Amino acid sequence: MVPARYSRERGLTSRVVLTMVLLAVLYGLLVTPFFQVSTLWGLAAVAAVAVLLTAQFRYADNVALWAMDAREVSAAEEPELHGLVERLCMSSGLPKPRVAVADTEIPNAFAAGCRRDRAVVCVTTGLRERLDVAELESVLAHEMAHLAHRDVVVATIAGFPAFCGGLIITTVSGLLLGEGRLAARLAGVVLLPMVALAVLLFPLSQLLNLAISRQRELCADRTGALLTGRPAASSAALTKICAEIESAPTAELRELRPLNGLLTVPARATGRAVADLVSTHPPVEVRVRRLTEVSQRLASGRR
Amino acid sequence: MPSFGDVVLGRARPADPDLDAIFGLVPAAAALEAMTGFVPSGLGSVCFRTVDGGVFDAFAQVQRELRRLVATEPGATAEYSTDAYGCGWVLTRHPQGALERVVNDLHAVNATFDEGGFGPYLLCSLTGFARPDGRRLALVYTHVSGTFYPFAPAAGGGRDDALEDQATEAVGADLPFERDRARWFPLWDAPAI
Repeated sequence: MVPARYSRERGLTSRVVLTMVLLAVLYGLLVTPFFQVSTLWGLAAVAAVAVLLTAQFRYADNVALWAMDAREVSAAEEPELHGLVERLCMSSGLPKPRVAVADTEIPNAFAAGCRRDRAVVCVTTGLRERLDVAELESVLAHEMAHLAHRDVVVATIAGFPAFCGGLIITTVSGLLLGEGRLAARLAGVVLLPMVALAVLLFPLSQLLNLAISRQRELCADRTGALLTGRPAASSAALTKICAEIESAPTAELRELRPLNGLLTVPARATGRAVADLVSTHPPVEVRVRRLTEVSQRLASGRR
Repeated sequence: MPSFGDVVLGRARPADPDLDAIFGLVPAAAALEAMTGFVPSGLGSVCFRTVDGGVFDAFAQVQRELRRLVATEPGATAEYSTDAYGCGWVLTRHPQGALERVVNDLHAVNATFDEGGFGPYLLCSLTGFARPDGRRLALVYTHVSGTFYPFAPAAGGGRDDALEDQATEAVGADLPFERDRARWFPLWDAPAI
């Protein structure tokens, strides 16, 4: 007999499959109009997408660290963080990521870097002050799970269509409605079909992007808790961080905004911390409930 | 490392350990002694994650079996401890040079975890080595990657890179060895060193 908790797990996996298929369809819709103009235009569109994505893969990790004002720390400076990360590497077989600390009171953490050898895990000083070792480990395990699942890449690819849509809409509306010369307005008119496409696809892309983000959070929660074997610490850390965020003054929350503003920067804010990003993350109650399911699995000795 | 499918589906899982490679230590120790003068110190330890659960849960069952197992071994003493990271350690003590008994103990401990379904929560098994001049060395076996690496704390703090290199040269060919130095994770407070 298969207990109910396993079937629910399968539910998550099949929803991940569904969103991945939808994402592929979305990319198809993005380039199809260009192919209808001519094959050359179509190939040019594919190449442009590839170049833009590659640029993001390459530079985004540093942009994320810069946006959060984070500093890479050595093992001598932060032996505890490095020790915890190294043991998680032992358990997971993942290469050791760089470790960074952001000097912010808001408890938060994120992983960035698309390539395995450029990966970085960052925690804020506020997080370190508030969590005990087991809870800190659970947060790091969650971020390592994002790295294991290559969620930085997933987030970049998932966020890209929405990013393009937003870019096209703002650029063309700027050309049309701005103070510019006639030539600029003419260019705006020529580009109108692209706006139509963007307006059509933008909301769809954004919804899909958010759905993927929420699923990947649940996946990372599960993998992280299975990695440490201590889902109770994960729940405790989540609950603590959220309580802290709700009581934090708005001015402090604003410190985290740069990260949020960089729409396609593939920084995975574990934004359980960030009120602005709430829609990218499932509600805490859902996450804690799912962690309880992991507890039950561990208690029964089955994996 | 998770497979491509598991990456896409976001369900990387803790990997199952490779337990038998640890028996390779016995012939390798002879080569180590010949080349560097290090002999087995008779100490060995296993580091594991302490999994959540109550006294009647599966993990508690594994720990009970472990205690029974180690207690019935004549002449051996085992010690349990928890380190600063919340990981558990089992330390086994034998007379100097009794490497085979140390390795058997380590394997028995590992097998107990594995049979209980907690193999992925084994972090590493350490075997201690010592030299008459007081120097210490450990060969660390990481279960998930199935490889060994040397760890030698230097007398004045830090690691003794030269000694670790010598040890690698001596046994690197006989054992599945970790070639990536970035994965030679230090274990400063390991009880078997």
